Amino acid sequence: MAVKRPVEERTGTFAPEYLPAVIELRNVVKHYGKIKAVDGVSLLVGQGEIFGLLGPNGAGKTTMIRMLITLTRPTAGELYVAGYSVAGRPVEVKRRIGVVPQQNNLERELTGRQNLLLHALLHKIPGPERTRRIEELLAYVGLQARADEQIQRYSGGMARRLLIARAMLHRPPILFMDEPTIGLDPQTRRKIWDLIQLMNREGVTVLLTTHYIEEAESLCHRVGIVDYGRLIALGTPAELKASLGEVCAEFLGSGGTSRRFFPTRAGAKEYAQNRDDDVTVRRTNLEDVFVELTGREARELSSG
Amino acid sequence: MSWYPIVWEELIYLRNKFWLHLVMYTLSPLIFLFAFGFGVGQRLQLMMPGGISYLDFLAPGMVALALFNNGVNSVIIRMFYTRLFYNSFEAYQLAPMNSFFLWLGYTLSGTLRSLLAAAVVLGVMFLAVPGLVLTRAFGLAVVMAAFCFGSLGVCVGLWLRSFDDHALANEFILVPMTFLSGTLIPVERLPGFLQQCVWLFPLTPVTELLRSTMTERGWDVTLAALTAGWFVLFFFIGWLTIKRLGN
Repeated sequence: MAVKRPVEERTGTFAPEYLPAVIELRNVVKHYGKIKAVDGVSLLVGQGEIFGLLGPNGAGKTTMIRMLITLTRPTAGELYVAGYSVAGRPVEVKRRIGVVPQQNNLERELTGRQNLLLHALLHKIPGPERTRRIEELLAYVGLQARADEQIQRYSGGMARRLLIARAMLHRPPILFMDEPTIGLDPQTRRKIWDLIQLMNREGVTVLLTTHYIEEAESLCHRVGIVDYGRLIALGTPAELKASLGEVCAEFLGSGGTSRRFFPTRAGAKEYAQNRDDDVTVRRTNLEDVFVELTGREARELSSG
Repeated sequence: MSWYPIVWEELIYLRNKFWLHLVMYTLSPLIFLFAFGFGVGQRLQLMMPGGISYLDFLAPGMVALALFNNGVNSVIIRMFYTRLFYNSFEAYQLAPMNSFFLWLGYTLSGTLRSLLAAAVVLGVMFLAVPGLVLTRAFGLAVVMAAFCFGSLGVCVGLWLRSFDDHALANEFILVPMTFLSGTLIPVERLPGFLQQCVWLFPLTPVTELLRSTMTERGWDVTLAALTAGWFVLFFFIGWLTIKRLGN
């Protein structure tokens, strides 16, 4: 299977092309009792993509990731990672993936370096290579000076950077990141974004979940919007915005904030001039796409 | 050797707090020695089967208790917190290893703690009861018991879902076994109905096996088979539970 590679929006360095799919979900369903956490999702992620699953808390994003990384079994459907069936060849899948979980799951009483060493032992990285890679990655995430401190003394941002280093230690071609910047200050968030882009340029495919619109918009080649366990939209941020109209006219109506979308700024301005109330004309963003598709306000993304 | 990182982590914790663990392992047998051995022990002399001294009776019981409490508790606590609070158990689940090695790693961690505690208790008991004789059979029984209790720790650790479960495990499994399995009081001196019931505890055959290997009775095949049987049961429960995680 192949995925249509999106245009690289930030740099414009390459045109659409077809790449092999390295992550695949086929009609995946997951029930927790009577609750349908994931409801018939099919999805392909191509090699070298940064793919974002965007949706509010409880939408089913984390469940999708947990099924892909072998931690949760689907009720129905099939999942493939790096060409291996997740249900049939979990050990092969685990060899080829790195995981940055939503919660810090480092061993708190071990130091940063010991946590990396533990991971290297688990992945059977041979001795000299192990030490070299650990030092390399500690430098990569800027934690060399604090490497011998226990994790319980790390800030949230430091722990998250170490989680990324740990996920990359065995050089997986595919990286799963569940809310990689949740709860971080803007500066640290930017640093994490830089790291993700750097890894992607080195050939790593990244599938991340987020409920931050800005993160999905600025980081991801393609975005899937998830709500109530269903994938309700899929495309590049530009495609998703264009599906509504490039320009948004926003105003406060009797029923709250209303939005109208136009293909051009001229159309939006003309609309604004014909209204008596204050109208803001701006570029359409992914938040608009989310609100239009789900009927839910974007603040629900962060409040759950 | 896929199990090794789990044991390696346990060794780091032991090294980081070596003296604390040493004191911990020493304190408990000392308390039992003073309270039971030198305290009420003199009066319990009359109750001893075969007319042996209470201290001779207590010594294998103390070793069994050390094996049991430290083997089971260390794994339960580690699994409880890493699974339910710190989520670091997931890091092991995500490692490319068969679930059998995950089970083995945790079981061996418990075994290690169990053996260390038993060694410390034996040291203390040698000071208090100089006539103690250790045999190869006793050594084998200790290793079997440590492995059995490490695997019991994995079963209970995987079953716990909350602090209430932890309290329940303490009240319904650990405390009754501690006092009723022939460790401090001979099984023969328990109320009639209890004498049969306590054989449903894995600690009872272990205690009796240790006791027999410390005396001229030597290796008791039935007791060893019972201990091995409990281990096999705990292995299957623990391994299958690990395999089914995520369902």
